[in-house]
Amino acid sequence: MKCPRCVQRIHRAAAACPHCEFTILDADILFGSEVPRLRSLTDSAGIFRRFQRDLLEDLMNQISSAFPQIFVSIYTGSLGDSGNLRQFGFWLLNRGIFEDIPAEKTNEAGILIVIDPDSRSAGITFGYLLDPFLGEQDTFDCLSRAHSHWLEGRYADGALRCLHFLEKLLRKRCEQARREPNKFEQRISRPFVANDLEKHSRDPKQINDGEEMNR
Amino acid sequence: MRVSLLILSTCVFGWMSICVANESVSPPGSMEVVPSLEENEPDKISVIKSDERPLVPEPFLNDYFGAKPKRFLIDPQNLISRNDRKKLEDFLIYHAGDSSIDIYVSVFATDQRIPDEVLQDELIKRHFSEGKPAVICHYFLDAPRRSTIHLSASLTDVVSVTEQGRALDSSKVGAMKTRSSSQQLEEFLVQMSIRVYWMERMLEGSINQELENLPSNEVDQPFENDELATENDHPVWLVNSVWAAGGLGLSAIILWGLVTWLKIRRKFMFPELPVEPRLGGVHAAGIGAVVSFSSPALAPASQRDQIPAHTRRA
Repeated sequence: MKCPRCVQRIHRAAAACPHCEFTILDADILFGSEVPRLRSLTDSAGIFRRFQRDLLEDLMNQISSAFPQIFVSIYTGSLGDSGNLRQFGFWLLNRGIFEDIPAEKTNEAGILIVIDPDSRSAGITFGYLLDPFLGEQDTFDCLSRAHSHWLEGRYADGALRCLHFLEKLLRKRCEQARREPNKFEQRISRPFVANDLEKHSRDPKQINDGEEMNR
Repeated sequence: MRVSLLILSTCVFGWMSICVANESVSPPGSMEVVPSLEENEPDKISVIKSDERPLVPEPFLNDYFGAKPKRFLIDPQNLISRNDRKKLEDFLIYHAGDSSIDIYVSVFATDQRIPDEVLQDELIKRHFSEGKPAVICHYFLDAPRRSTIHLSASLTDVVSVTEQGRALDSSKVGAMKTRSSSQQLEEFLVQMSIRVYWMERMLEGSINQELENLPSNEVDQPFENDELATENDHPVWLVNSVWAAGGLGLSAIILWGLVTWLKIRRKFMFPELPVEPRLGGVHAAGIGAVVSFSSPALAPASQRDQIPAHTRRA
């Protein structure tokens, strides 16, 4: 887990970044406290043509159909430097209301791809449902599939490649979660805190066991 | 010894194939290769012009062609012995009782020739246009390969020239299995009777395909003169193999389609594990990678490690 502002590692239940003290409130100050309402495919930058939007929406619907819990969203717009892109994705997925997504699918099940054609960067943010199953490397692999297309300004082609790979990756992760659920449960296990060691050492049962061992 | 037998058998086969080839193409006036005595003596081959054969004696022409025969076996020259004739007639009568197509056999001497003035088709039309359908055979004793058949009008519409050729060839081959004149004729008629059975089925409207299902020993060489013969000459095993291969291919395609359809229709569900919120985010705090595509020099591989900006080397 990383902080969207300072990109430093944080622990799983951090209320604020221990390094820069970033929280959602900082993002609200940066991007506004209004609740943004948008569609799952929002092309604010105007980089997709109509037929390309149709293709992307078809593929997004296909993913939603194959994964009934999940939805995919794409947002394009100018955001400034790439540091803001992480924060924007974090803010939008927490604050945004996706009007064309069924109400039963909350943003926890969302995967948001943000493309900024001005700063020429793109990022992925995902909800808590996918937290145990997706990692930074996975999202990097998705984006790197689109890199060569985006480099040439073919944004739709890159996005399609990215979505195709994302779909494959999700299928793979789903299969792995079915086969080895423990592996993913361990990823989200409660973080170790100092008090635990103290409690563990003062456990009366363990003390008794230790005394018997000494005897 | 073995070598000589091999040479002899090769000669016999070669001679037979030459004879069959030449017999099947015998326009009037052409040269004809005919064995002089025995079927299995290839060395004694004489070449006789068709025109040089003696004609059927004129007094018997009326008996042969004057009117519709009253008997199934027409032998005014008494070329067949009485016993054999009775036996053959009994067979033809039995066949007539059992089949809807009669067989008439006119027996001629080995080297006799039917005069050109006798217009076979016209006579057949005249004598056999009414009544039961009939197959009229002109059989030459000791020379079954010279035999010809004619079908009544009601049969020619149904039985193709190809099938007629097959019937004749089958009967000739049957006759050539033996040496005795009477046995040759008997075998000829037995084979013709079998073939007539299939003609009868065709007459009744049965499918032509059944002809293909005859036992292998009854399926003979295709009628070489008929170009149409090539149409239905594919072996049964080849046809079956093609069908089987086609069926397997179709099944594979259907199976592949079904598997693909099931894959597309398959639903994937992630287990919902409890995740504690971070950074005040209610729904999400999964900060994934950010990739820059500002320059071709900045390859994705160089961006794999997502590190804070202030830690990057200037």
